[in-house]
Amino acid sequence: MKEIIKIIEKNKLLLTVSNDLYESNAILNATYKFTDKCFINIETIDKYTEIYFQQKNESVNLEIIALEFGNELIDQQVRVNTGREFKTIRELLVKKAFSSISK
Amino acid sequence: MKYQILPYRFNRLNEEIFLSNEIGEFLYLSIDEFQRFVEHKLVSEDLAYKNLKSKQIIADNNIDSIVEMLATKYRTKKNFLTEFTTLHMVVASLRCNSNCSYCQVSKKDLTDISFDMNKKTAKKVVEKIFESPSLNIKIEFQGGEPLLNFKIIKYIIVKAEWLNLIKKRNLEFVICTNLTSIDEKMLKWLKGHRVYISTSIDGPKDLHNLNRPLYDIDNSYDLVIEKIKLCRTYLGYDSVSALMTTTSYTINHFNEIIDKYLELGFDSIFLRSLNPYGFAKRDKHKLAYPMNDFIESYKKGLDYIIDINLKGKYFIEGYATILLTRILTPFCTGYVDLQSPAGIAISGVIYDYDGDVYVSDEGRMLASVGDKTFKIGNVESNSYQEIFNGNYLHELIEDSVAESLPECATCAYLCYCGADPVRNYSEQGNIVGNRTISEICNKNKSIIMHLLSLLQRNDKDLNRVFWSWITRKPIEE
Repeated sequence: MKEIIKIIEKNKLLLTVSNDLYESNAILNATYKFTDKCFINIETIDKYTEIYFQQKNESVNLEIIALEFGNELIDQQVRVNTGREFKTIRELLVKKAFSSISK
Repeated sequence: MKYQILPYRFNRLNEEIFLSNEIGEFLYLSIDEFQRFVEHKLVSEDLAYKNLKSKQIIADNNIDSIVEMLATKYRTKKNFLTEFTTLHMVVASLRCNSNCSYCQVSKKDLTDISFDMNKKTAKKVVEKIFESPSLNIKIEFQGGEPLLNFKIIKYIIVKAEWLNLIKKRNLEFVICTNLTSIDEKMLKWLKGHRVYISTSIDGPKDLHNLNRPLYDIDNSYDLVIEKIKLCRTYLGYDSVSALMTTTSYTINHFNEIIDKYLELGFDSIFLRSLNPYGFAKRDKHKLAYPMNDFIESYKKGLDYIIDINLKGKYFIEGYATILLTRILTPFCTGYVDLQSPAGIAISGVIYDYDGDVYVSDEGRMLASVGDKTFKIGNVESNSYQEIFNGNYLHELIEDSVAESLPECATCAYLCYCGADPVRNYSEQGNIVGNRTISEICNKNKSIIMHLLSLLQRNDKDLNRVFWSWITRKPIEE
């Protein structure tokens, strides 16, 4: 994992993730969780997505952000994967639930 | 093993994975079990498989009938939508004889009767209320201090009762009052009209007086206590309930406040944080505290209350009871501040003294400092359809469906929580809000996680306490 982490300045971090492993929805959802601590910029370059984190204040530890982001990204990709499997069922469920009042 | 994964959400909780489905049924899996679950590697002999199947998070056959069953339960959870507006709050007067440090409605001068609701407006308000399709109508009088305009309270109650002879709704009245101006003549009249009293007690005498002095005297406490007794004499012992608001003066005194509620004969308390509106927002440097401090005090207060129950005294914490009902039963709770879509206007609505209609009490609190973002009409110049079926309200509601809000959409606690667009707007300046910096998200999530952690202990005695709260019955011997 270390090789994809690059501290580009004292208060900036660059993470590179593979687009083969992670979809854009998962990446966006994962980065959202860090918007309280960092200013974030996302760029897609070929088969990779580069995510730039800039700490909002000095108390933010960018090393920890990098580690937490890795875990969060996995959780979000699992949500995307399993969500795809039950998407139609969820829609059907809500439709059935309100069928009596939507007539 | 071939199985279908049904709609669910997950969060990490206490080194395990917490999973919930659309209707709030939940379970915990170890990280290894969770990994095998999402990779479809569980087998029917696995305990995790059996638990997931019983919670309807996976299915291996009869998927249609399971979806049908989930849909029925989902409809029950969202039953507040079919009820439509049940809570109708009416501001009888913005004048007030209290001088509360945290006044969230920016009360007006005691002598300025231009802030009283008049009869013409009151008539229109009642007519609008009865255009609501809801079978249950609760009219709640708010202020300022509503009893300062008692004649309009009487007018609205009588008018509503007359209309109800034809409409035949389950009609109920509540007066939210500091009680200091109530007298025997008022109580004799109220006795015949199914009226409940909701008052404020912020703790023992010194704390209460610090938060809630009167306009002309500092000691409001003795008067309120005297009037609670008087109300109980005329309206019945259980006709009076009380609420507390936490300020920086009281945040470290929850045990004393709880003891006071017990001493006064109440069987519940709602440990309520300060809402950032009106004077509470203006004077936050004096009155507010970090939300994390409230959460910690809340947990300690809850522990104290649980201990009281374990020692044999039935006493409820209101917020925990609402959340536990959501977590452990299939029912919705009707608590307008925690709904998805938000309860704004579709569960509760407020009619200001001048007939302006706001989506919630907090919406009119913002208006009292000049921001009318959440005004949806006026009873005199708009029809019911214009107020309650207008494009603006539709837009507000569309933006308050938690299932489609960033972060909420994937949160495993979603089915126990809700959206609060007015709070988002007040805190962050937009109604969608960013959950990572939301104080209300932090509070709700932390308290839900705390309750789930307590349930995770699977402690028989603790569970008996929680069920006694949900069923509103003391623990049976």
